[in-house]
Amino acid sequence: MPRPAADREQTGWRLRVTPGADELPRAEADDDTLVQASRAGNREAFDVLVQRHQRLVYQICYRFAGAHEDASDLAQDVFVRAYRGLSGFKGSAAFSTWLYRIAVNVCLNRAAVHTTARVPLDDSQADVGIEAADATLLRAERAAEVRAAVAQLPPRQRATLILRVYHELPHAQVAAILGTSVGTAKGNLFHALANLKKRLEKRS
Amino acid sequence: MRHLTDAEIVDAAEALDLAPEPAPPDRDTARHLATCASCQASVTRLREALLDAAQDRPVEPSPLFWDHFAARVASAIREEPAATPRAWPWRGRPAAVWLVLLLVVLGAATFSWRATLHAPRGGEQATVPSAAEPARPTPDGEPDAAWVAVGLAADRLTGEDAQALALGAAPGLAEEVAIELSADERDELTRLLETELKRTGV
Repeated sequence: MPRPAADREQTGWRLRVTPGADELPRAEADDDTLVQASRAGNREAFDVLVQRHQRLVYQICYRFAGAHEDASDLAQDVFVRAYRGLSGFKGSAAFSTWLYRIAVNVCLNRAAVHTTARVPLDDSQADVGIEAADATLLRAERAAEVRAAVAQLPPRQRATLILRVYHELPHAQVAAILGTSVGTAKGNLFHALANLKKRLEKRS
Repeated sequence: MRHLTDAEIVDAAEALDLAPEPAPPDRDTARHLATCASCQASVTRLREALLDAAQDRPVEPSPLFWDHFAARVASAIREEPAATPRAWPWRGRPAAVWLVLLLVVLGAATFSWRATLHAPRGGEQATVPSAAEPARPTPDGEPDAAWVAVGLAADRLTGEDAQALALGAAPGLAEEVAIELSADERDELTRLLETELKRTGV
């Protein structure tokens, strides 16, 4: 889980030198510095931001899309939108929170169009023994059931569950990403988990 | 007896080492849980759901994917115009600018409303004052502050400024401006509008 900006400040690796438009950004520069450089026209600075956040953005998209190809397309869309919107980023929240908010919005908009999430099975275990293969298959089936049940949750409950349970973000950050209060975020999680339980019971 | 809220049940379920940063339930919650079967059942159910959800582990693409993905995004970004500051200088300005603009518009609305109330009969046309013109007195003989403000603003406003300040009639401009406001700024705008509407009785 990425450390919050406040932690990074405390650990002292925050670097406050803004690369200009022609200067190569340093990988250890903090997000704010890279955002400023990107705004100044330094595209390499944005490349560093992409490399830093691509994994989490992809994982969020994967949780919504349920398929690798769709997730990578969505994640690319998220970064392109973030780049277009950099001038509107006011810095009142961490860049990561702002970026994940874009990711959730892109995914929710996409989910409104495609409601059925595909559930791929992992075929990388083809050569293992039969018992292990059975166990793997059972696990994969159960995981697929869970994924399908999560995919059927109402959008905000789904987003809350994904950010909290799978991305292990603090309730406060989940609330900031979804533009709500911590209490509401917890309420959404309560209903998401209760609905998930109901749906899984119906399936079994 | 007050049962636990949804948020308290979430906290209690997560406190069972199932979530990151679990916070132990506070003493009141723990005391209530010890005696309330209904809330206990809710916590257990939520805990089971958390365990179920955890069975779907995150999928990790091939390590090669990330380089490919970063290159794809970089290529898409290079097709975009550079993320330089917006060309329109009035965009992205602090809420104060918008609030001043709002007050000018409200002042104009107030003036228009008062002008309607005090319009002379017989078809005389009201004219917008210039700064050189003395402020029109109100019926009680005092200069009308709204009239002065609108007169000064109108006198100094060029056509280009008016366009830049979104006083033109470009379709969708108001919506675009409203979308760009933060939640706090929108709340403040709503408050100001409500106050002004109450004050003027419009």
